[in-house]
Amino acid sequence: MIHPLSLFLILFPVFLFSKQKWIQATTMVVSTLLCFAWFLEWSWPFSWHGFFPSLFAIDSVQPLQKLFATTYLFVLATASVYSWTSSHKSEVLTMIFHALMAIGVVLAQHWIEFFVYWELMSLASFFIVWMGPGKSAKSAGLRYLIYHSLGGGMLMVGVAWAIRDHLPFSYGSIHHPAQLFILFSCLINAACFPFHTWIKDAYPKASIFGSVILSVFVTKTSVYALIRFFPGFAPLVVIGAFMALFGAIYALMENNIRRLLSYHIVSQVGFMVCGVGLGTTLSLQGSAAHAVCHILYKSLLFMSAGAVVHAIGREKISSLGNLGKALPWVFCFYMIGAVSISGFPFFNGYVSKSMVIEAAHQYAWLAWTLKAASVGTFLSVGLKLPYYTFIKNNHTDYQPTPLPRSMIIAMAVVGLMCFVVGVFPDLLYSRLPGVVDFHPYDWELFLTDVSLLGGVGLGFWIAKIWLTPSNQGYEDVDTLILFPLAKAGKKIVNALKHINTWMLATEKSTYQKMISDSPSDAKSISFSIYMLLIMVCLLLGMMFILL
Amino acid sequence: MKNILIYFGFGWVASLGLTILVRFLLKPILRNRSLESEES
Repeated sequence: MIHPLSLFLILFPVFLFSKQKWIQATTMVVSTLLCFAWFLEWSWPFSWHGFFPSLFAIDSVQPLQKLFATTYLFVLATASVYSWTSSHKSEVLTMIFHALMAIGVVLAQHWIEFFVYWELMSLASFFIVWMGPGKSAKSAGLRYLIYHSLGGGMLMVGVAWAIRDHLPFSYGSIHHPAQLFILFSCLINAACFPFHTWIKDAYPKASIFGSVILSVFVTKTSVYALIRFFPGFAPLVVIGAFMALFGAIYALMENNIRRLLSYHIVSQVGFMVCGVGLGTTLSLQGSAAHAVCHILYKSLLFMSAGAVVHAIGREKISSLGNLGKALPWVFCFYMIGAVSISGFPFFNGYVSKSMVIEAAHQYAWLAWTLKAASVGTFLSVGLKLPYYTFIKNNHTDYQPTPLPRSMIIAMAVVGLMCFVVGVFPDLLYSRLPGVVDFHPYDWELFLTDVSLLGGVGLGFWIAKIWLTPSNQGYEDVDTLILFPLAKAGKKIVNALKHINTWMLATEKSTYQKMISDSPSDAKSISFSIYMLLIMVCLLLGMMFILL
Repeated sequence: MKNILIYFGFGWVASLGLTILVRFLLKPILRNRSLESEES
């Protein structure tokens, strides 16, 4: 098979000296061709035995790798079209680099390759956030970097340990401490609770083009790693179920469009993590399928949200309204994404989410928790957001900027894919690892899903007044724990500074007195005071460790 | 038919339950005034 990075490796140095439109056009053409090549399983007409063969051609590609790589190439092509009007060449280049590194992670053949691409992907995503508009993007980017440095550090330890102990780079259960480090890193990147706050902090701060790319690659690459390295790790079931419900509940409270969608990434990744934890063939296939479908509809939702921000210049639901008339195409594409994420039949979310829920039926509590999370998803993304943004006539004090055609085309292509995969699920199922024994258009499944969604619609109609968006901020793990901890740390540092200033002043006056009385004794007394202080610190440290 | 009613009822009750939980319990508890000033 052709390694996507091989062509881009040649193209990237040229990109640095090229015009932005040329970069985007080339990326679009090359990634579309590669996507077709992977889909139709073409390979190079010659064999390569160079210095680094895995970078040019891959012989042993597993179906899971092929599935993720093809989807990533598709999104890279559409994102290149969507960002056609971007005015920042550096941002476009970083976005392409980020996507390529994510492709590198999923096609990695050994630990070192996996680690290097993973770290480069995280670094590129930090720059995408950091390049966002406004000062808040810089601070959000730094907070993002702190989280991912922690994850990257954990991965480094895990990978180094795995290499030292010759752990295989393949599927397997947890039997070595190195795997726990790798798991921890994957959980941070997958935005698992309580390490999810970077996602709602960073994604809304990136540019409208950057957030589309970010919404696709970081969390889904972690889901790939979880499917590959930790299938059947039982604690993931509980973590995933909690994430699914937690994200949906926080999304119901949120007022900012892109933050609401970010919370929904947490919720949807929860479904995938749950599937990984269950570890059955159907659940693993469901997780992989849901990751692919999520990439499609989430990129469409972020594209639509970006289009609203581009046209109106606002992204708070409380300051928007009646956009359906001003931006009918955006409304149409947003609704395709919304019904897909909500699991409507004939859209891609239905064919993948129902696999995970079906697999979750081995535990009744789990199946109903995931169904409750689906209710929350439809309520917030499918009903609350479109009703107050596109339908309700509460704000009309805006003059929409015309949308570039490139944005509409990109959204149309992704929307079409959501529909095609929903109507012809075998297109997706035939590319999953193993044989899929699941029929989404079984009458019972179809009718129960439609009746569940109907019940939610009725519930929203009765209680929609209570979901009216308001300009309020809500506590999350970062504001409840991390920000107070940071404040306390700042106070401790300030107190230490005061103590230091006081000690210096005292020392100075003592020295002056000593030097005037007996200059020779001054140095030795000062040395003994420092030694005493070091001894006290050592004793306290030992006591702390022993206790 | 029974399953359809169960699922319809679950959808209805869960959506109302989540709305009430969010509006009357979580929103008042988790409201953060400093974030409001930051946001605006």
